[in-house]
Amino acid sequence: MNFSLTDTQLLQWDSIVEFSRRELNAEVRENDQLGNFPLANWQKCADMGLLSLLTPEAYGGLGEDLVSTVHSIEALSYGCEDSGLVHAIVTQLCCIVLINLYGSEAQKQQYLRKLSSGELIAAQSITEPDAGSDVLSMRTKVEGDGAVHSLSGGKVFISNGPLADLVIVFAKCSAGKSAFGDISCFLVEKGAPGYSMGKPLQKMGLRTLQNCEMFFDEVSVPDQMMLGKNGHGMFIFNEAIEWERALMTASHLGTIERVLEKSIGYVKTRKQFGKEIGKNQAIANKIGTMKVNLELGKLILYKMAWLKDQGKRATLEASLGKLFVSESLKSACLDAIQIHGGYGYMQECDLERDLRDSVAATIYSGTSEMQRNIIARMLGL
Amino acid sequence: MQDDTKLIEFIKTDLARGKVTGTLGSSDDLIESEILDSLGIMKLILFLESNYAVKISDDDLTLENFSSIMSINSLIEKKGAKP
Repeated sequence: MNFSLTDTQLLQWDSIVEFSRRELNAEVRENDQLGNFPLANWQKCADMGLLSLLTPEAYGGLGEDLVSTVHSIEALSYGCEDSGLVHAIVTQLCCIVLINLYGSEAQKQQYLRKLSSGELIAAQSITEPDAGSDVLSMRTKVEGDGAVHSLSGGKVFISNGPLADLVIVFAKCSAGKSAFGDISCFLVEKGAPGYSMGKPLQKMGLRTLQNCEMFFDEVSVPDQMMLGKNGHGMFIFNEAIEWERALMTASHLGTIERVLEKSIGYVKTRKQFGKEIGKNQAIANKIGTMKVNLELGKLILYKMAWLKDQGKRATLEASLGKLFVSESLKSACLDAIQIHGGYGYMQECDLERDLRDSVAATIYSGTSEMQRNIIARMLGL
Repeated sequence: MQDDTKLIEFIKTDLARGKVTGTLGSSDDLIESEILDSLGIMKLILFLESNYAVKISDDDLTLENFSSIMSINSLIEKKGAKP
C-alpha cells in the first residue's frame, strides 16, 4: 500500500489551485446572486485541460487515471469558490466518461474532442418528476427497435441542461426485463425536432450551475445515437453513478479543505476575552472534526478511485464516500459559519454561499437515505 | 462443471431475501421470480468476480446469462472460473 502522490500529481495540484484563485474567483458572489453561468471561466477551465482529464489521448485528452483526476478536481474545488462551476465541470466529465466507455467509435470521434475542449457542453438527463431515488420507475420511453427510435417524456433538475449542446437521455425501452431496468440510453443534440427545455430553475444554492426541465415529444433518434446496447441503460447508469460519486466527492473534499483553512485562519486571529478564539475547546473541537472528516473522506475517495483504475467495481465504496463526504461538507459549512459568528452570516464572508451550495450535496447523485439503503443491501441486509 | 453450492447460498441469503423458502433449482428463473433486481445484479456480478476470478464484461450482461443458476454457472465456466 502506497499513500504517496507522484511529483506530477503534486505539481498539478499547485498549478490548478494557483490557476483557480487567479482566474475563477473574481465575480462569484455577483454571478451567484444573478444566477449567471460564467461561460468565460468555463472556457478557461477547458483551456487549462480540466475538461479533458479523463479523455483518452487518442481523442485529444490528457488520458489521466481516476486517482489523478479526483486529485485535480479536489484542487479545483479547493481553489475555486464557485461550486456551481465545479459541478458543471464534473457533469461534463461524467458525460465524457460515458461516451468513452460505451460510445461507438463514430460517437467518440464526433463528440469527445469537442466536449474536452469546451466547445460543446453536455448533460445527463435521468431524473424525472416521479422518478428521483426510484430511478428505474422513469416514464420517459423510447419506442421502435429498428433504424430510428422515438423518444417521449419529461425530465427535471438536469444539470447543465439549459446550456447543453448534447444530452445523454435515459429512457424505458421494451428490450429488457425488470432486473435489467428496461432502460436504454441515447445521445440527443440540441435542436432535435420535438426536444425542448424549460427555463433555468431557481435554486437555493449552486446558482451558477444551470438546471432545467427537458421535454421530449416524439423526438426521432437514429440507432447510431444509441449509447451502449439496447436495454443496457441500467448498467450504464450504475457505472455512471460510481464515476459521478467519485468526482463529486472530490469536489466536496476540496471545498471542505478551503472552508477548514479559512476557519483556522480566522480562529487564530480573532480575539475575544483577551485570547484567540481557537484556544477555546468548543471552537477547536469543530476545527478538529472538520480535519478528521477531511482525512477520512480522502481515504475512501482515493480507495474508490484506485478501485476504478484497477478496472474493479466500487459500488459500496462510492456510496460510503458519497454519504460521508457530502454530510461532512454540510456540517463543515455550518460549523464554519458558527465559528465566524456574525461575520460568517454575512454574504461578503462567502461562507453562507458555501453552506447554500452544500445542502444539495446530500440530495443529488442519490440522497443520504438512499446511500444508507445501498450500503445495507451491499452488506447482505 | 462448477460446484454451485457457494453460488446458491449467496443467491438465497444475499439476493433472494426471503423470496426462496424451499430449494432453489438450478433452472429456476431468477428474474421472473424477482429474486434478482437491479442492485441484486450488481451484487451478483461483484460476487462472481471476486469469488471465481472472472471479469464480467458488458457483452456478458444478457438476460440469458443471468436467468438461472445453470446459466450463471455456464457463464463463469466459459470465462475460465477458478473457484
